[in-house]
Amino acid sequence: MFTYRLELTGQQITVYCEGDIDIDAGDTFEEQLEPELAEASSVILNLGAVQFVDSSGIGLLIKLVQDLQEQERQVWIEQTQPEVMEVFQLLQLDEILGKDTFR
Amino acid sequence: MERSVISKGKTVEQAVERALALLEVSKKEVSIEIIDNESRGFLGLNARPAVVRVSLLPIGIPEMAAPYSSVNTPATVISTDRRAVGVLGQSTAAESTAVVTLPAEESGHDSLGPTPIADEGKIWIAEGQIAMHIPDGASLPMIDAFKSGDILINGTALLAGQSAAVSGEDVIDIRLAGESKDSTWQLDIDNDGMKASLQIEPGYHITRTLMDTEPNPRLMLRVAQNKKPAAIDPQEIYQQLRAKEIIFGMDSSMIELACRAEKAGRFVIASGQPVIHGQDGIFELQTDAAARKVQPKLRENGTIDYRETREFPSILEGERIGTIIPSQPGIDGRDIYGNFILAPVVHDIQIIPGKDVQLSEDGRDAFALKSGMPSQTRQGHYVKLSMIPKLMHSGDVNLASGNIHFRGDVEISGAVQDTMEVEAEGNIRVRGNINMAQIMAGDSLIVHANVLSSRIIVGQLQLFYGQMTPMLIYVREQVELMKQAVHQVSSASAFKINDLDQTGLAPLFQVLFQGRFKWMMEQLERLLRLEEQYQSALKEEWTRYFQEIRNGFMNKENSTFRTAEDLESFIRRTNYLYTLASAPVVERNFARLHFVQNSTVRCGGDVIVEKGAYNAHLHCEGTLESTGTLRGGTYFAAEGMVLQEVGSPGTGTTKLHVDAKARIKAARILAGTTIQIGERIHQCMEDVEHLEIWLNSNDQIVWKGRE
Repeated sequence: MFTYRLELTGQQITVYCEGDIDIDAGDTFEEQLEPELAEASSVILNLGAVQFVDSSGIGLLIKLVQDLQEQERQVWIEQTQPEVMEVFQLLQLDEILGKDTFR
Repeated sequence: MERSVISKGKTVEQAVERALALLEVSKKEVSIEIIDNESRGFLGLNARPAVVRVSLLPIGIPEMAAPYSSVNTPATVISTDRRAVGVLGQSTAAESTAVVTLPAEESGHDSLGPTPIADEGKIWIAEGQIAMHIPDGASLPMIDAFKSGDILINGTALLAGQSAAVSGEDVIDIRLAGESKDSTWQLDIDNDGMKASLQIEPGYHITRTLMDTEPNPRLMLRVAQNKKPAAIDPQEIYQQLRAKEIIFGMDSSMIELACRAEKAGRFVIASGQPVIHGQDGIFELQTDAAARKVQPKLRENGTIDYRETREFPSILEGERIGTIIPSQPGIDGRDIYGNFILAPVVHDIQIIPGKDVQLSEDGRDAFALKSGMPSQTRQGHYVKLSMIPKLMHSGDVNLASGNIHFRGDVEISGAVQDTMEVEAEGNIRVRGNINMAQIMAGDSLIVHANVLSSRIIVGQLQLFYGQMTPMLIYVREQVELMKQAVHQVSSASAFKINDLDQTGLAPLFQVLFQGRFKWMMEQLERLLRLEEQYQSALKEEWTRYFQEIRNGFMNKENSTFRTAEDLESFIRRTNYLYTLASAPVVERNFARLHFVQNSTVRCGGDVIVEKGAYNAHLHCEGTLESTGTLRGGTYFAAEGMVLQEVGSPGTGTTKLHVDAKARIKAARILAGTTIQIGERIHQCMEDVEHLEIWLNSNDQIVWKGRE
């Protein structure tokens, strides 16, 4: 079950993600999260509480980040768990989203 | 008592001086007798010193006590008796004639020498033995040693150049040492056990024997030398062969020869019997024989005239299509160990009669039930044979006759007119012009007249295969890597695979296509475009494969591939089709055209242009041969070109293009022509004659010709 919590600091939004980023998170991502980020000039995705991902979830994440990047907004992904990072690396997310995105 | 000295020297004078010095007297006090004048010999051979006898005149000079050397070597005492070598004191010889035998045969001969001559002892060799005759009061004969150690007097060897006076009491031992070297040999066996050979390094025995001489006061040994090769005992060889368990194919006469060899060498002494390969049965088409009678002609300029050989085989109703030639078994061989080596098994071939084919009762001959072209496909030891029918169309193909689509061969006696289409799975022959039309031949095409503003596709399947092969290699590689990626990510602890049950690998592919497999989608799209292009020529196996690509990779939401194993079986199918597409073709397609203008020609095999081409766009997977002129247009031939004249003075450019490994030969290329070999491009700035152009191993363009 995927949930998130937002923290607003001026123009910057930090999204504290919790649970699994998987196929079931699709609705939450597209219908709730994306509209909420519409105003922010920079977005930080905190994955500290994300233990599992699946390929659909990674697809959602990529799409979210790329959409934001296309709107020329800053996106960072931070505090990714090492196990999740391993998956990201195998799928070369750093290449797809840009190395600077992860911190 | 008279004292005398015998002395040697290079000259008589020198010899005398030495004697005087020895006797410590002046010339006045002696009498000099020249025994032998010096002789220089030839090239130092047989050179003899001068020998003189210098005797003191009897004036009562005291005796010399010390021994003397007669030569310029230090004095050597060689016997324990009263005398010393080289110094003749008073005569001590007791007997008048002495025969000294060699110690080995001491009790031997008692032969007498020739009649003795007074006052000089003589020595000689008779029948290999030393003989002497020393009359009473005579001086003792001398022995000269030529080689150290040959002569032993009372057990002491004379050194080379030394001389000694001998009497009958001395034990003279002549030791003529022989010389010998043993033969060496080595048995070598080839790795395959088919040959054993002897490497021989022959040895020798040298024996030396004394030759008889005339009686003389001095004896110089004359020695005869006899050199014999040392033979090897064949039994040693046989023993070694037995030890190595060689039992077959031995050549005893060669062993004999090797054992007695006088020169070093290698002798094959055992050879196995090689396997003689048999021949599989084959099916021979009747037309093969007929067609091959016409050999391609070599033209004067070195190109080959294919025109006479490029014909369609065709057989009339009731005629024999071909015959089976039975297999011929091979003959087993044997190695030198006696093991049998089996000749490979040969197989007979069997005809499976297909459409319109009937076999003779013994199954050996095949006959055509209808006229047409025979088609054979070989599967293992079977040949599937069928007749492809032929459609004869008299007159033109035009709006009145309609387009022609035929599953066989088509022959058109007239022209193919505007906007018309002729399509055949087999061969097409058009005797008239093709004008603004489209021709598609599954196999080959012959056009006797002109191709104008038309589109020609020949050997579509070969064309398709030619373009498909590199793509299939790419797909195979990439999907293999994708399979590994799926494996890897699936085994990561934080990766959930539940969603793959619903969607297949589609979401994962979407991620991969953005990352490591960025170019994959583009390649797959190109592949699917090929399908569209060749749709009509493709069999079901290809259609199924393309469908699998669509359902497996192209759908973003859902994929029929669910696991890495699914990808594995996709790779297997890719590989199967790759084998199919890359297999060498038995019958190459070809297009033989007369004159081409403003047309597009694509051919899976070779193209032959007889009269020439003007502004054509030609692409073939085989070779392009032109006996006419190519003016303007683009010409690609994967395997190379042999051309007459190329180029277009003033009218646009002409471009020739071949694969990196191919060559272009042309009798004449005009300035302005562009030549591309592989990725390299060469622009002809001048007219060139007899040009040959290719890429060297460094990927550089090399050409020769005359500007």
